[in-house]
Amino acid sequence: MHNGLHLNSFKHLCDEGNINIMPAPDVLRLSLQQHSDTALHPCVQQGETVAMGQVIAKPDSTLGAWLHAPVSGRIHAINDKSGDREIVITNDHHDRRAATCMPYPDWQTWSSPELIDHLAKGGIAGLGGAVYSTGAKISAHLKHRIETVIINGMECEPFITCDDHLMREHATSILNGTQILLHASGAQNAIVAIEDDKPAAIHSMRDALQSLDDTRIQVRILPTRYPGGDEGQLTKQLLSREIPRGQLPSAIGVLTNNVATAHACAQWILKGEPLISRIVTVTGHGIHQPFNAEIRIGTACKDIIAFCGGYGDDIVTLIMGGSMMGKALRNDNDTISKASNCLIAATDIDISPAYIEQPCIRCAECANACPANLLPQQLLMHLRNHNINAAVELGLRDCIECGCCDAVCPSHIMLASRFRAAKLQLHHQ
Amino acid sequence: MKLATPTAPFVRTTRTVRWIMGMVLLTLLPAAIVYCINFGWGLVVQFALAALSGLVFEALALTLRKRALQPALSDGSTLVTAALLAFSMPPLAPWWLIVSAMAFAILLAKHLYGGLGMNPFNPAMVGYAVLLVSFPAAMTQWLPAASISTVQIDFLQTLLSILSGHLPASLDVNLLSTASPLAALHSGLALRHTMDEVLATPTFGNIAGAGWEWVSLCWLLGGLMMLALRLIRWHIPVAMLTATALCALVMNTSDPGQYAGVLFHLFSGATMIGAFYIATDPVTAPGSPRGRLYYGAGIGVLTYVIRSFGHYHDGLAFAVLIMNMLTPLLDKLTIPRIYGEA
Repeated sequence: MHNGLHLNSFKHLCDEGNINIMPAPDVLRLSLQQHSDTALHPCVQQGETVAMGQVIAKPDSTLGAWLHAPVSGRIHAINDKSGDREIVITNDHHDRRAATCMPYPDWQTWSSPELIDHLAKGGIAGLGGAVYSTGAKISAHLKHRIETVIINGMECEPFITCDDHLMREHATSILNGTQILLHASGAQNAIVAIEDDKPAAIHSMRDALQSLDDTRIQVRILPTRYPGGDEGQLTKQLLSREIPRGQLPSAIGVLTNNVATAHACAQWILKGEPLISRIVTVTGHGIHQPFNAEIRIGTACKDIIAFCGGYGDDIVTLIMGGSMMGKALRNDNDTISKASNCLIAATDIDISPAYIEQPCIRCAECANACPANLLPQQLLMHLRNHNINAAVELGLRDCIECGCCDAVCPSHIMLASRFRAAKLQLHHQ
Repeated sequence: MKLATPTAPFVRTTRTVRWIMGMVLLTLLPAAIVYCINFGWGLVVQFALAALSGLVFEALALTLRKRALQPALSDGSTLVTAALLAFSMPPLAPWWLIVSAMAFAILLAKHLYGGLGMNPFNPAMVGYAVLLVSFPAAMTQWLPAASISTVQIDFLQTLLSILSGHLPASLDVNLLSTASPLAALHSGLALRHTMDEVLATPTFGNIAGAGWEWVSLCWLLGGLMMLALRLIRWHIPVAMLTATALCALVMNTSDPGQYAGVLFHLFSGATMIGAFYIATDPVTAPGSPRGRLYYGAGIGVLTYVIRSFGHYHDGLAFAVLIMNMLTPLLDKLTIPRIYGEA
């Protein structure tokens, strides 16, 4: 990869210590837009008592991931109409488990479709950011023959260390999940890819692999460079092959899943625990004690911030996600979804000040940085001229929205957000 | 609590257009000092005139276009244009020459097309070409280098001479007419002197002209500093210098009596400032690495051709303007292969 960037990672902020377990708050609000591929419909009534792990919403598509109650308690409210569609649960703090949550140690005797179907019922979805239902994703990829499962432990984006800590503490579970994904996809081998700035995680994964003794799986170390964890960049680095434009990775026999997704697969199949929590990095100079914690889906940001000692004085922005692709929150009422890998209470040490856009001087530093090898300055020109078709011809759809172009632009032009908006417009056409 | 909600990415470079332009000017400082040592204070006065008038024209254009003054006036681009033009002017050229060049550069070449970033032609080269075509005599009155000159002109004399348009009384007009090495080569060969005879005259210094070879060396030094600072990328200067050198090598080998050697062409005239400071203007150059190689090579070849076979002593300005015309085409023909494209 000759493009991409070396970024100040800020990962040291949240490097030490073990993964905390955050006690579930009194009230949880679960978004019904958890998964990017399908909408969820509630299957419980207001006032109903629910057990932890009980299904509370199902997708309208087959193989979409289900949604489960992260705690036991009562359905306080259901907003299924408009705006922020969500289910509100009041926690009884008993964590009474649903009877339906049971392990399936004999999964190896199952067929691939059975396993895929079961993953969807466990609410398993991609935890690396895209949040596609894992069952639906594997199923779509099975149009082609899958040879290699890539388990993505790159975690290339600044600030985020949740996958790093997961690999340190749950390496065996990740490898078990990898075996499940190998079985579900019918692939022959798997590669766990880790950036070389995570020595502890690499050590832990290698140890676990040695004990497991599964010759189908290997751990590969790659140089630290953003966005090395992007699916396309990863296949290029690991297999020296590019995913053909507009096609799934399976077109070259690849299926990529995040380490956290593999862990979630193992938790569900081997322990009967559906995806009701995830590890979140809570970091930034704007909070007192940064940490990684296992947090129930539906926990509000303000509860998390309170749990780690509250805000510092100089917080400027609250970011859900990393500093390159995250989203700035309007307030801290937003809740953790399956996609939430990181929460940054950012001060002006963590992020850049607001710059005023200057004219593009065509220096092409953006093109030098672009991992998709696009010409961001020309895409910008076409979009400014409202010529979206010309932008598409130059590869607008191939933009992975990594933000490298913005990061290097001396005129501080907001490129990625314009490309994001234009792609959304294309999507809705 | 009031939260700012910018859009991702939240990390941006601390580099600004102003910083880049400022650094470009700084890297020109060694060349400016050596230039002044060799050719007197003319450069300083010319730069001051160009910078001042340039900012006035910039403000005028921005006002007419109803644009904010501050961002454009402080981005430093006008000062870079001014510096490039100041280096292009004969040191004692009367004030109205460089002021009118700046008027063409800023008002016509830059703002008529929409200001910084929108101009298809290099503003400094437009201004220079206008002067070269309109006032050929005034534009070729170069001073001999201090090392070979019998006359020294101090700052006040320089200032008065430029502002009044009259040369200092101590200066012999004949001294001015053929003082630039490229011009001397032209006229020398035209008078059917051999290359060796021409090159033996003091004007030619060690390799490419008394004084000029040192200034060129400083431009090269500044260019290398810009490369190290990543203010420019290597493609255009390397392609242009290679192309010029190859042309010189082929022609010099085939007929050493008529065509000067590689080092002479690399270190005389505007070759070095052109390769690192003029051809690399990102606004008017192609954006892709491959496009930039073609663009640089085109400028290198055209500079040599115009210089060696044309009517003008140096060919850089016209070479740049011609290749500026080809920039949109080169951009279209050299779109990089997108990730995943067959």
